[in-house]
Amino acid sequence: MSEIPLSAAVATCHTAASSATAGATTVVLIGNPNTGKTSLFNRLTGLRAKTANFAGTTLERRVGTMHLGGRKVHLEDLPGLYALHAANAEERIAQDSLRGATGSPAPAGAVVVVDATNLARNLYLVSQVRQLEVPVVVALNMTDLAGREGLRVDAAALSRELGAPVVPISARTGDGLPALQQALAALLDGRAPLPALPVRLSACGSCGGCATSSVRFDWAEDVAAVASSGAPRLSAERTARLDRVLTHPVAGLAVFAALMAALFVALFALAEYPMGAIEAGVSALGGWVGASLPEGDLQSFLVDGVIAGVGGVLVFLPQIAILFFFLSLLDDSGYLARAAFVMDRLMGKVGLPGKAFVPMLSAHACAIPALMSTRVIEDRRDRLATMLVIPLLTCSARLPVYAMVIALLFAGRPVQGGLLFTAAYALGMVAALSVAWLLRRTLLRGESRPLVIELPTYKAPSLRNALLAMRDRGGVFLRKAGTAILLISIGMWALSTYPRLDDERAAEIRAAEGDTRLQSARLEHALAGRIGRAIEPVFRPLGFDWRIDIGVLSSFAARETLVATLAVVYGVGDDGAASDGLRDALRAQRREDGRPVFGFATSCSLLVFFVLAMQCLPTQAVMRRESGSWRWAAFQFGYMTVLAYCAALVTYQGLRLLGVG
Amino acid sequence: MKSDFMIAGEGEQPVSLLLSLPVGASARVVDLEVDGLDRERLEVMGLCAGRTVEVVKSGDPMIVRVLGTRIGLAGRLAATVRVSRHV
Repeated sequence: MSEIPLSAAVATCHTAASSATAGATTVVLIGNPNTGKTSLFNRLTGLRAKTANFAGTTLERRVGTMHLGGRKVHLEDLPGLYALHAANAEERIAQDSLRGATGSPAPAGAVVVVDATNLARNLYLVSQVRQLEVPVVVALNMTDLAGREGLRVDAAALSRELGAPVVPISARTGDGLPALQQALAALLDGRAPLPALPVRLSACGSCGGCATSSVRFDWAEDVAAVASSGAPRLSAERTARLDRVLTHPVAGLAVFAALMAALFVALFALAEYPMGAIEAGVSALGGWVGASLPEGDLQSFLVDGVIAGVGGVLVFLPQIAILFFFLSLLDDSGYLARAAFVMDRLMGKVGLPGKAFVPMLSAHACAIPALMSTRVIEDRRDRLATMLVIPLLTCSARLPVYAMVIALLFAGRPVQGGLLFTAAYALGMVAALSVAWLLRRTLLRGESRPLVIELPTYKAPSLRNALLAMRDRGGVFLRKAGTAILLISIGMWALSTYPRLDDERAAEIRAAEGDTRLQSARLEHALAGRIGRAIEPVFRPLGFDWRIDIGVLSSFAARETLVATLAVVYGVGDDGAASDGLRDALRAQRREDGRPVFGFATSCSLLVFFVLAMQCLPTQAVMRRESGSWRWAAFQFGYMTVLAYCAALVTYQGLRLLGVG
Repeated sequence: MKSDFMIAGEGEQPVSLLLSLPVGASARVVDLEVDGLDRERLEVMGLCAGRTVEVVKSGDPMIVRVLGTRIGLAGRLAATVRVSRHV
């Protein structure tokens, strides 16, 4: 490795040095956004990283293990930061964690990642970290890129100015990593005496305020000028050329729209196969368990509760994985910042930031990954407003319901069907934007936080990072949302199973009317059926009868179960749900006065209700986790239910008034 | 790197707003007329008294270059950054 220049004076102020040799060793990885910090973290920890939250916050950190010459070291990846100021919650938590003020002990060392092609900007944070009492190694990243473009950075000179070892690396290729590990090991072993803080750097001051920021930036620019020569011309020119198109008010929006459409199509097209496989696998497993066990509570619990619940969790996984794969590629390439840039003004009209668009688009696949991806929005109120409206957008779980209603109304008339389908999507979008607009005038009053965003140099994205992001997000989903979904599924199973019909009565029904009728008799007898009857007066003004109410109730676990539940309550049997049998059976249903149950008004009202209602407990669980409180999840449930009810009421009564049955 | 502003004193024009600068114009930040979190967000990006900014793209949002990087900036914020032009 390159030499570590050390001043002769042994540092006296670095009290953390003594703790470096004792106990479990933690090293913190910190750096600006877009410095390749994630790549370095992935390189150093391999596939052993986990995502955890800082205690009592929704702020995430990634934790992994690496081996440094026989010693096991925990590496903690802090979020990408430009500075350590106390006013910003994220930066305060990072600062606390570097100082050991978050409950866990102070780290034994910090690796600060610096982008060699962007030295002056990155040195600001380095100077702040350097002034904390934690031993620092600087990883000078992207040296391969800098070298190719004729930019030379003198690591030794930089090291003198910072009073810390500087190791040139390339996280992309892995060059220089052994040297970085050696430098870190030497630091942790106390073999390398800690250099003192250079006088100029210590003069920067450690508090915020523009006066000191200004001094610090003067220092950063001077040091960058001393330690580097040349400029990365090639990538700067390429970035300038690309930005002329990609940030253009018209062309930029067109490219953005095309890219998002492609993302959307890829999301559905690619997820279709694994989702199909998961559904088939789960149903095969259910069939096998069902056949191997005697009929009874245990069999029903395992097949309809547990296995169906696990299937309900796993089926979301492909879309989540694929979404985060593409988002990671877009982010790595530098494009995501441009997307926020071109969308900022449009989204600002309803009080949302430009960064809200991509999560809102993802919500058309599934609200859960969309809520998870709102983490890119730094302002809490902006993020809350976005999260609150996300479930109004038509997710893929609503599609079977839309398809069923359209089949009821317009079977064999594709044009009308297509129009209604489009109208349902549009209703979701209009509702989401309107509610956002309204929230910014009431509960979350104020404009969205104005845009200040670094537009990084365009780079080839890393496939490795994308695959790891996909695995990481998938893991978070399975651990955090998965358990909730499974429990909810088991709860819904219990509601639709107990109390059981007694055996005698069951045998009678089976003998007289067959298995299919027995299935619906059981559901009617269970708690779900009783609740459905009890709440009939509430939903009657919307045109729903008590059987539809059972369906609405059951779809709180997951919307798509409406179709299967209606198949059971209307006596088609759940095998009939996929065929035309259900459509014909539903059409044949009559009310007491002889009118069809699923007339035009009721069908439209049902559709409107399903577009707008919060019928997804898993989303609620994720909302609670991401917003940090049940309060917001409860508010979301409340406003969406009221909105769905009122809109369906207006639809039904309006159509009836117009004389449409 | 760019150190010309250090001696630019007499070559500078009176103070104007970053928002009103044309593409290609370069200026020194004088101060920010905004407080709280937004001020801090501008400062950490280098939009801070003493820095040199160059307008890459005008409009709302605009793009400026500070400390060697491009920064996308909402018009509302660019209107709070007071600068003096380099001649």
